Amino acid sequence: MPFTIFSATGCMRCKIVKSYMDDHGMVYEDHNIKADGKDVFTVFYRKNRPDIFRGDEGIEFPILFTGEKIVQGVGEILSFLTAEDKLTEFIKRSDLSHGWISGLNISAKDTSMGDNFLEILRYLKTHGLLIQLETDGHNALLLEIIIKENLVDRLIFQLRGPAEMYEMISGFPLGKEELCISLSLAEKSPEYKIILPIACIKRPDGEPGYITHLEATRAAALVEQATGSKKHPFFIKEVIPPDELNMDPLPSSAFFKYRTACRPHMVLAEILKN
Amino acid sequence: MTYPSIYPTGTTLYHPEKCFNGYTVFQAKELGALVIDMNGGEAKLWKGLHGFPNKILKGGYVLGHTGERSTKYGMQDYRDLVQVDWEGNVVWKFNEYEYIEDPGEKAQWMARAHHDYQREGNPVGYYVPEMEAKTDQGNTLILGHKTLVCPQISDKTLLDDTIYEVSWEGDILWEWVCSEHFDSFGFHEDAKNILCRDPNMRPSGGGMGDWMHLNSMSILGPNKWYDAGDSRFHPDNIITDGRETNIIFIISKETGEVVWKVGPYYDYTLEKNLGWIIGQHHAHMIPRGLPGEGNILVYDNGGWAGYGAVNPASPTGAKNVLRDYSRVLEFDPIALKIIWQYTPQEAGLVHPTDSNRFYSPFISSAQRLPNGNTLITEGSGGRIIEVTNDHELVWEYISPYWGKHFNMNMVYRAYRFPYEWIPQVEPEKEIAIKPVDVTCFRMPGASPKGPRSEVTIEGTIPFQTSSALCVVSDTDDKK
Repeated sequence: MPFTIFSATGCMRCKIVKSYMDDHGMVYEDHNIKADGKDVFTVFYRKNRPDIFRGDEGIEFPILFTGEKIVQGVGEILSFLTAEDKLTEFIKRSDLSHGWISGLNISAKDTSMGDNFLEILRYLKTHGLLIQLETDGHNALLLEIIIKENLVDRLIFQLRGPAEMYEMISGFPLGKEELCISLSLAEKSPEYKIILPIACIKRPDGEPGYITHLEATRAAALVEQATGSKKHPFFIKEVIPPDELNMDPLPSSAFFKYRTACRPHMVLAEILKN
Repeated sequence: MTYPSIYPTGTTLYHPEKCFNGYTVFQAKELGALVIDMNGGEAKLWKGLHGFPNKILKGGYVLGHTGERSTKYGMQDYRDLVQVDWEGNVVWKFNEYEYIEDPGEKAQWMARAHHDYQREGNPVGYYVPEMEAKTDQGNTLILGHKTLVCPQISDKTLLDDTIYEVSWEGDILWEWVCSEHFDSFGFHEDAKNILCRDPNMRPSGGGMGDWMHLNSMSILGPNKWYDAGDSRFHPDNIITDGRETNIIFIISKETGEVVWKVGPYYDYTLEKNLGWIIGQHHAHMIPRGLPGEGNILVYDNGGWAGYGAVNPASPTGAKNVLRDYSRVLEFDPIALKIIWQYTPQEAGLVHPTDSNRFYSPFISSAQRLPNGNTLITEGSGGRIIEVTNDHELVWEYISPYWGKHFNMNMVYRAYRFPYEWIPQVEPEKEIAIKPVDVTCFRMPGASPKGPRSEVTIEGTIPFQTSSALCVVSDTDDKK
């Protein structure tokens, strides 16, 4: 496959990608967009403008072009180079910069690629990036390895609700035991947040409804039970309901009641603000 | 200025026929919530109950706090807000705003309450005909604290102000965080500069910037401005004021936006009509049903406050405006015109040479009474006075309670309320106290006024009407 890399002078992520390709004997053509490669990139950009992502800080580099496909960002490029599309549940676009990488989710449904995911994490970590990982509690074994090998710098734990609601909310079940193991591992991350999204879900009777205050209390209680502590950075988060549920978003004042509902078990509970 | 070392305390002056007679409640320094009658008799003490401030509810209830967070770690963080009955039973309590774990202290929930709160039913927490605060239900608005970092203001830890509403059952229903509205206050670049470098750093908790220092918070209630179509004055909206910034502002209850303000600058636009308000306290809208309803009443302390340009009195731009006397202002919030005021001049003091005899550089308050009088707490000296609309002093009380830990008889805020609000006791007889002629008033052992030997000098001319002192005063002849 004829790879082209568009990189930039001083771009740490570009160096990591090129280093990975060198290590794996992958041949590529490198165009430094701040030097000789500027004109080549200009032509490429004009031709592919709709397919090139621009974030808040401009175009994200490096860009990998296979001749057919454009892949951007260090995480997604390593994912593609390792397993093409098979790691997309684990690795998505990062929205962090300045030494951090995000978009890395432990809780993929298909765990058969877990080893490849770990390998990428190790590579990113050993090359100096600070890693923000997300989990909702699935794949506790993977999390255990990650914690053991110090592959995470910040863990975002998306607690979907009490364990018995996981299948209803996320589409695939999670046993209480595994959820508790993941929760107990969370606080071993150098930095972590437990977030309870107040989502609107389709109930067994087919009617949509938000997570109730009682369910929020049970979720918070589960964290206390799993960790033996009431003191975790625990946040309530607003979730805009999908159009198909035809539900109005909750007013901002509604979240105070959720916070109150969680505080008997999570005394530091706060409302996550954008 | 000159403050005698010996002077009477308690009620020192009283014209019963000119007063709105009733009881007065205040926090007696390091003692508790004290209710006095017009003659200074102490009708009730809730001993040990803190009050920042204390307020009385009809039926003999008092609101206050069970204690303050250790000042090693917190600055004016009161643990809770409690409602206590006549017998001293806590009948309502809220403290679950923040879980606090201070080193060496017992971990506990705290309200982090400070300076003010309002129980549903009454917008301002003092007596208004037909606006009684609820005593067995209703929401309560509380002025609180949050410790946070807001890089837009400063990289230093801030002691931020919040306002939150809590139900009778203890659910927080609404919250407003001051720093989130920093852009609404209109600070100039020089003010932002000093705010960034020194957001009024206080030593508690290793240092935190008490940048705004809100010190009052009340609801507008029904008012003529809203009735006339001005939505800024929606009855649910909240008025508050920042001592450190010299700003008085109204918050929309619905959106949280700052919809009206005066300050931080008073040298241009209509605000110049008000003069420079400095370090003010207890700014509130006079509620419907009281004389002056719809106007803003505020104790404009003077002293030192504000952020802005460097000047010789403020080498860094912190607390860059100064005045050494206080004013009580009642002003129209639309025209920004002063409607009524009580300043050193109205108090009969020569201005400015004697003005700082009416001066409290911190705390203090003003309450409009149903007969048009105003109860003023000139807090730093523990002086509570009632003045008529014509500025006549008709009641004066000096707190006899000095603190052991803090050696002042300061009174944060006093409230007058009708006798019938505490039916548990019979009002005492009201006895007029005529002002003593201080020119003849002597301590035992002191000689009487008047020379033992006198001679008139030939050739002298009479003393002049104009003072022509070293400094200009309002006794100088008008040219």
